[in-house]
Amino acid sequence: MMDMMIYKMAVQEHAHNFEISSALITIILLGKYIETISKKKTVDKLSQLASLKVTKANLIETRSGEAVSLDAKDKEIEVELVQVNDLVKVYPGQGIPVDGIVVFGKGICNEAMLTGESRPVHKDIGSLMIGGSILLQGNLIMKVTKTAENSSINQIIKLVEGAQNSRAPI
Amino acid sequence: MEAIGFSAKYEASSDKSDIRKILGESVRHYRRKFFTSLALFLPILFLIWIMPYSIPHQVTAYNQLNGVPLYVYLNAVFATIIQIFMGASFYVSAYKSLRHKSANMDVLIMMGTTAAWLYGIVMIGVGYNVDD
Repeated sequence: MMDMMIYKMAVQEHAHNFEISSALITIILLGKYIETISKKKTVDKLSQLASLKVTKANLIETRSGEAVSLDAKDKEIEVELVQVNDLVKVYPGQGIPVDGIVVFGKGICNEAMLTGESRPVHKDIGSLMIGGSILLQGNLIMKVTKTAENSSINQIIKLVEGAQNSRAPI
Repeated sequence: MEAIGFSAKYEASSDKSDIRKILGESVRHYRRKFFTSLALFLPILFLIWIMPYSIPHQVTAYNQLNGVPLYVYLNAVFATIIQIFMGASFYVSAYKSLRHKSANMDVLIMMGTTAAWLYGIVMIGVGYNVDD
């Protein structure tokens, strides 16, 4: 008799939990929704950053013993195919394809997108060039020091990507 | 290559537009799912918090089958729809995780919600006390 009483009281007090299960699922779905929104924003930002990347480079085909000059013939290739120690010609108004050192010529470079420096930077033989910046004036030939994969702009993109996509372990 | 009469052409790897399309699709998917779930959840809140205090006696009286009031049956219907249709993807994810002998967040969620929902269903089956 006593058992029956307790049993019935228990039934009465905890009639149903439907609101709990439904609320939980709804809130988790809200979380997933917000997560996909932030993921989409990240990808949009990254593709904006990636649009800074230059896709073509003018490779100079050198034969051994030949002196480097601005008259050398160049050939347009995909930037991913450029290798370290290749010579690349940059025309005024063009983007610098990869990181490198100037070996011939002079120029003025706009590096604002990477360093924030608003004034154009003067480039001479021996100056470091950053991939993704723009050559405003002058003609120059540079020696590639880093491939497109390892250039500074690609490193930045990778870092941002990694920071946004990694999660705290649970 | 070019010397022997073939011209090789390097194609740049696929552009970013693809992944953006996929992500846009998943944002739409979750938005639709969340608002559907919310639309099913709001009637439950209404039935629990407002109905018992304002609306006709026959809805809240313990007079239906098994002595369970009508609004509890309605709650069960909405909660079951949410549990099955909105929770399906979580069940799949939890099952996959358990098959690899590990437990992720979805296992936790589905254990909790299934317990709460099943309790309500079982209590309807058992029946409520009519005397109270």
